[in-house]
Amino acid sequence: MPENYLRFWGVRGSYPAPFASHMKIGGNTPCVELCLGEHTILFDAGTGIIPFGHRRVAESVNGRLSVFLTHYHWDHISGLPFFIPAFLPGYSVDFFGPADSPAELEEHIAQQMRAPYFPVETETWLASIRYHTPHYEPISIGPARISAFVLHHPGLTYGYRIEVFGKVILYCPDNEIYFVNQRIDSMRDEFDESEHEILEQMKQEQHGRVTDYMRDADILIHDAQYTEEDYERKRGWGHSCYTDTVTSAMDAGVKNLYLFSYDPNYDDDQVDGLHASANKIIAEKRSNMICHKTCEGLLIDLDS
Amino acid sequence: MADKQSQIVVIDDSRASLTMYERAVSLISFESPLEGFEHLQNNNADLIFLGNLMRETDGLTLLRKVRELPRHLMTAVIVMSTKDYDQDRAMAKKLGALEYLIKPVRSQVIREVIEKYTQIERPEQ
Repeated sequence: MPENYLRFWGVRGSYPAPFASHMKIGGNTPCVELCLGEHTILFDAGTGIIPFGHRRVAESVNGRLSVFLTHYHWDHISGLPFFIPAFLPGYSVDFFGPADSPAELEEHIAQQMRAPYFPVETETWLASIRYHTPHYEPISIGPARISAFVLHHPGLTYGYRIEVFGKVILYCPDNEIYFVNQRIDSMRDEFDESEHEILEQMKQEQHGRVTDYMRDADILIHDAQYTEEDYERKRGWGHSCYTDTVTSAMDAGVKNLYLFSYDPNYDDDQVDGLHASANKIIAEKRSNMICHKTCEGLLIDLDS
Repeated sequence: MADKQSQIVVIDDSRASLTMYERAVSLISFESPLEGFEHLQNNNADLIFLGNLMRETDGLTLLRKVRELPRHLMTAVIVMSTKDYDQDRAMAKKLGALEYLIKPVRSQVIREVIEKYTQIERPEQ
């Protein structure tokens, strides 16, 4: 086991998908572990955080945990009621997330663990729990520098940029990249001809905005929830079509793209097909980018 | 012509969006949310337009900060966003935004909104 690594504990979007047909990819919702020696950082607390917590306790590792939440939709926090380290004395957990204040962040997390939704409240957590809302100020944890930026998804939703060991890692689980561009195309006739040039500039700006935050990332973990067919029906739901993710990442010079937040309706074969199509796009563009079929348990060695 | 006594401030890091505003009315614009906020700290405004998805911050976090300035506790604010979600609309409304418009927005609509919330008259065509 390398000392420094990324490990995927949950890669599904929207809701858990514990179906036999989905098990090669896995059915847990988002949770990604960044292990940096003695420092452990988690991104999101979907159901993937449950097996992480079990492993943590089984291995009797009780160092400080930092959990960066992108937002509070269920699939990103629903593992917390079953996150064993939070219930045990001797553990400490620092939560970071988008909110006006630490008290508001605490409230967002606590709400799902109240009657009648759940029998055990966060007040029973025996670990040392702290809440932080750094907004857009960078946070340093061990060798990592982590900063938030805003994504296109309902409510205030963060993506995270992690700089560590000279590498740039981006975590963007829920992000509809080109909603505004699609909207511009559908509304063009409503605008004066003299405004069409501005609309084109707006589209280019959006592409520039997306490729700016992706620029030269070594590792991009990004929403690739829908096929083109499904995106037609689910435009505006806050998730990307995988083709938009792939083409933007190539344009931004991303080295490794990890497809993420797969639609829970897609079985293993469908995800295989989506990955193959992504690779076809990359080959046609003669890009050097490597596109990875992200699945539960996948480990990225950061030492190599 | 526009009423010179009224001041409209736009904070949006989309240059194309600012061009659309500038076609509609004379205004003070900032591509940098930080610079726009510094301006609002020291100046009154009759109407503020805020972008939402900006590189340095989101518009609703910025609006919270603006509302903490005593001089802008009641200033009319319009959020102009690429995000078309009820959750964002509700957050904007809670922070006292009068309208939540989805981009792209025609210059004509910008003019109508300005006329609705200020004493500024329609520029002569």
